[in-house]
Amino acid sequence: MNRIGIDIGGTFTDLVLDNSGKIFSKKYLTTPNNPELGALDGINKLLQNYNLEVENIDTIVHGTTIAANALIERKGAKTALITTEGFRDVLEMRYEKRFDQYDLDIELPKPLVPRDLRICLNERTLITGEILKKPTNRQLEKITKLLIIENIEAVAIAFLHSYSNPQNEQLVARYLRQNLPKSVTICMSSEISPEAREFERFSTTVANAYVRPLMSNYLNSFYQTLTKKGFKGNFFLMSSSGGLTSLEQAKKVPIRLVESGPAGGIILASKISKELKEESSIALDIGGTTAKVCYLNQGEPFITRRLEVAHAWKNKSGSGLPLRIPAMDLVEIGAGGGSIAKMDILGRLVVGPESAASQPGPACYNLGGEKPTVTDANLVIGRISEESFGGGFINLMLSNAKTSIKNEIVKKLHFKSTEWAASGIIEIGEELMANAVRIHGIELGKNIRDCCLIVSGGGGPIHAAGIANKLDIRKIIVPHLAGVGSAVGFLAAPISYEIARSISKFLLNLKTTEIKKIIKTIKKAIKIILNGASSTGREIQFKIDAELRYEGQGHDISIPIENYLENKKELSELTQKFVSKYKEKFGFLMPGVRIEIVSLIVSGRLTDPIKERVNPKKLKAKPQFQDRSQKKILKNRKIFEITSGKFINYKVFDRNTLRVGVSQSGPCLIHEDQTTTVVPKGWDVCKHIKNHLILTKR
Amino acid sequence: MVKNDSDIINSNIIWNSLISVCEEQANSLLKAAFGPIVREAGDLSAGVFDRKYNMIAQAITGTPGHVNTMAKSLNEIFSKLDVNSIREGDVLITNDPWIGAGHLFDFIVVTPVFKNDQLINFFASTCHITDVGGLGWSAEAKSVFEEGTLIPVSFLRRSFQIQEELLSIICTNSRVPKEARGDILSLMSCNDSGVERLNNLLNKFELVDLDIITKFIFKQSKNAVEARIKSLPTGTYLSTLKLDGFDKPIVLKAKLKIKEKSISVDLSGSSPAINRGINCPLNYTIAYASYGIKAAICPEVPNNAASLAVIQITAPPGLIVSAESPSPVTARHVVGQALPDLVLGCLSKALPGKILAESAGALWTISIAGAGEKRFNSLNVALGGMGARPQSDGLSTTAFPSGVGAVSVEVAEAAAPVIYHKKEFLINSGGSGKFRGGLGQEIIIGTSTNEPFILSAAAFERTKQGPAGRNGGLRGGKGEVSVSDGTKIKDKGNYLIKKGETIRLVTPGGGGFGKAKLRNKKLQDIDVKNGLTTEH
Repeated sequence: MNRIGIDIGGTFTDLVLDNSGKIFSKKYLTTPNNPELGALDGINKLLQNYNLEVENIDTIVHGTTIAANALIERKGAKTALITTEGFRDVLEMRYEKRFDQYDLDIELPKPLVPRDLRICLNERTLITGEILKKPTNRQLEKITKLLIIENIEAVAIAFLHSYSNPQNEQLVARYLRQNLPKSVTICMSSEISPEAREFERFSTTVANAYVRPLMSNYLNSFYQTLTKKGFKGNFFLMSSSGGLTSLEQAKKVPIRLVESGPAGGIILASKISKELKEESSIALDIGGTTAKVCYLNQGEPFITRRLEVAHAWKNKSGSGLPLRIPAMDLVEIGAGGGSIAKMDILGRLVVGPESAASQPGPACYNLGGEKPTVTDANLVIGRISEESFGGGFINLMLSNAKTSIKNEIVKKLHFKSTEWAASGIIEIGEELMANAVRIHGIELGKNIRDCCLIVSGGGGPIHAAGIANKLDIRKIIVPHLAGVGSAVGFLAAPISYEIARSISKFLLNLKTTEIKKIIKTIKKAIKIILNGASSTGREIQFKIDAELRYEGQGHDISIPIENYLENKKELSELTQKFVSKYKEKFGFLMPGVRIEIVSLIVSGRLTDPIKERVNPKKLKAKPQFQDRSQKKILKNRKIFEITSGKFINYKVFDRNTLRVGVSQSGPCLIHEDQTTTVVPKGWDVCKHIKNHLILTKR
Repeated sequence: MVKNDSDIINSNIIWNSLISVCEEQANSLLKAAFGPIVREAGDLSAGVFDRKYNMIAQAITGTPGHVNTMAKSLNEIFSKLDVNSIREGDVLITNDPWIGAGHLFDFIVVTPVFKNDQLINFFASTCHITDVGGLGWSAEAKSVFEEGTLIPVSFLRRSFQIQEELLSIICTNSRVPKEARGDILSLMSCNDSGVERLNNLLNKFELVDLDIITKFIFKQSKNAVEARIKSLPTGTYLSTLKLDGFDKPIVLKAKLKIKEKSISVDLSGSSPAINRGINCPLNYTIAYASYGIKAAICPEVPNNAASLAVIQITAPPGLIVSAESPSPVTARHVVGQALPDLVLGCLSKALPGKILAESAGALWTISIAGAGEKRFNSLNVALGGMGARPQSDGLSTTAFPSGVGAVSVEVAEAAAPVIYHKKEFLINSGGSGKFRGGLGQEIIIGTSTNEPFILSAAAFERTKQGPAGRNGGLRGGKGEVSVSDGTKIKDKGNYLIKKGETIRLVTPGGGGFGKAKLRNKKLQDIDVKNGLTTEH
């Protein structure tokens, strides 16, 4: 069978063809105006290469940054917000605090809906669900006229407490559906994000409405072009949570696709950690500008419902648009290969978040960049070399790297040697990443030392051991195909969907039938969504979590529940679990304070992910990377080590010719076209039967 | 001291790690805390100190009123208690307004760190506890004795044993005993997590203490602030600010001197302390006055003992900015949070064209309590507009100088039987100018109990005159408070609101910057289109 993964990013479109387990991949430049055209062209080329037709494809999995870009560049639909009278400015007032205490110049993001299109309706729902005021037809008539005059393409309906009772939102949606042109998108907050806290719920709903016309046109056009060319297979979309979703669902809630890019790498890590039965692992992707970290438990990535996109001020947390959608719980750090090192006003050596990116690039690229970067530092100490980097596509200039570090770091910070200064840049950079891994791990209550580190991205294999040493981690996996891009990961993703609902009830006087009813309703909704995604009604594996807290506390603790909380026993078990997890986390208990269920999260996934029909047409495996560097790889390289303050000899092996199951001791380097794996002294490396490199600490 | 290449690298890494230890300490508090003002709005601080009580590093989260007062608290605490009596496992606590953050609601908890039986450091954290007895959130008290329970410097834990009697005194005197207990234990627990992380850090770098790195941090910070001050024009600059006061106006005066390597501010001439709870202890005054200066001249330099020491704030005792015990101090932020505007007024004369216009200032604390059968307390804040900046409009309804944001309407209505009927920008409330001041807002609140309730007007400031503009910009709108039945809110006292009535608050808008006729036509048109202004 043939499956294709397509990841359309800002710069590159990654394509991967999986022919019954054999992987073929290609990178093309993204065609920003009509991204689907570039992708289709790429698919054709890839297929032609292997004598395949579009009709031979069984499944296509697609991830795209189009929604994210539309939010960043403010290129979505002309959107109106219909909201509760008296609360016109929720989107713009935000949290009413500054995300940076000392910077007096900060700017907040412009709301997606300008004030003149935020229209108030005389309605009010109370927290209890009681409807205090109901919208009248006369008001609705007036609003409809306005929406038509303004040529509104998308309408978000978001009322206070609608998660508690959606009636008013539904009433308005029905009216507008009947009276507005069919092309107008209508989204309700009670459907898109039924959770308390108006700003986050409104923000999510508006963002969904804003990107929906664009996304559904794009997805339709993509799918129809494929069908015209004879495509008969499954078409899935990659969501931010790492699950796949159907075309229909993606068109309805496209905001859930917003962060699908990083998901690919993490699903790959997830697949490998399941294959190798790793109890706890950390997926770490180090790219050019940032590094991303996600924790995995038995191969399952941690999921969050708090996301912030399209930052408006220096990429600072708090300056973006908050979204309450399920997403992989990843932390992004402004440190990567292109991160610039400099002395700050305190005379400190700092690395990032400013990046030289690909233009002008690190100093050693010789493209005009003069500021020293992490890549320059790696070159100076010998971890990468002039002849081996990037498969020989980029000619690195060691002298440029040295000059930039001398001018900006050695002189200003009074280092004695350039190598030490370069090591300093790397140490600070690795410490930044290790620290982010550490803090996130503590937040999630993980024992970091027992985790296995799974790295990807160009910088992952270079920095893995350094970071692992800082975290006392003893096992690193450098996956096979990690460099191919996230599209490979797409093909390993399950079909899934998650719904979270705020309920706010005390455990003490909980009516269990009520909980059962809510869970059943959500399950039913998920069933419809998932079975829509597959041709038959197949078995769904459900997972239910309750978010609990002590009354009045801000932080929720998530506890899995097995059943419907139907009896006293199940309730008391839940209480016990909460209490012990709370004690573990905070070190004390709150006897006498009521425990509250804040929300219920139900997620479902199809047990057998993608229906695979066997395609007789098998391809002849070609070597995967044909563009070998012409330059000769040296057998030995000298690398400066901070522990001894000297250059140490490293043996160099080619990853392709390394024998499976034979262990090599560090210090050594494993070379491949995309990157180099650094194996320092004290570590062993061994190639796994599935071509992963496994590094273990002696 | 830092000598060779590896020392340079390590000192940088340890400094960063220390800041992240404090971040984590603060984060842990934020998650465990009960009061909505702490958990939703971030009213807290956390930091690490050397054994001589100097603050080395602090979490970047936290508000100036907590952070900068905490920096000085340890000196005060150990002037009352012999440091030699401290053992491992001890924890100290106090809410003395003249030691901690200026009123009884804020508790500071201090935990010593021992290594090899030597006292090497302290962790401290501060947060707002919802209720400490007394009159509650009100400026009506005539002395601090009426404002609640004052816990002098005491042991909260002695040799790892929690002092239940003390905890019981605090909880018994609180209207919300369980939350009070939870918040205090959260403070203790977040310091413990700081201690644990610090120990890991020391072990990792094989250090016995932080002395060398502390010297490095202090030296670099001092140099950085001094370098900035050197670039400023030396001289003496004056400024005056008038506030509504409790029931009659008060005046704040500052004489700011820029010297070659330091800045000093003398607040002599400000109004004397009064017998109502808007007085400000000197520690809280210092915190906000120095915050205003620091944000304007060296925002990137982290707060620590050395960077704060370069800026000296003084006032003779007994003024409204230097009130002494037993003056009442509950709503001390009414005066304290006006001080950044006061000192920025001085700086605008030293650096013409470079300092933002005046802002709404003090957080408008909205304190509503049930006065019928059903008892409840609802605490939130209403924010006004920030002053226009030299290059951009002021931020609308955004806290400044405080870092505390508003609790969301849905959360506020979940926490107490209140109903918000309106919470929206107030048009034309931003001061006109080349850049417009941030807008204030209009809030209408009632209850769902159908019973009377009490409103404390303690923090409704700038209702007589809006914040001033700068460089020809106009004043922002002044604040307004009214009741639906026509009751007049004439001072900062408590008001009994009849059942079924609602209260209406209008927060001040920020001042404008530069002359209005210089405003970009496009910006002006957008404002009109969006209904933010109606002029022209």
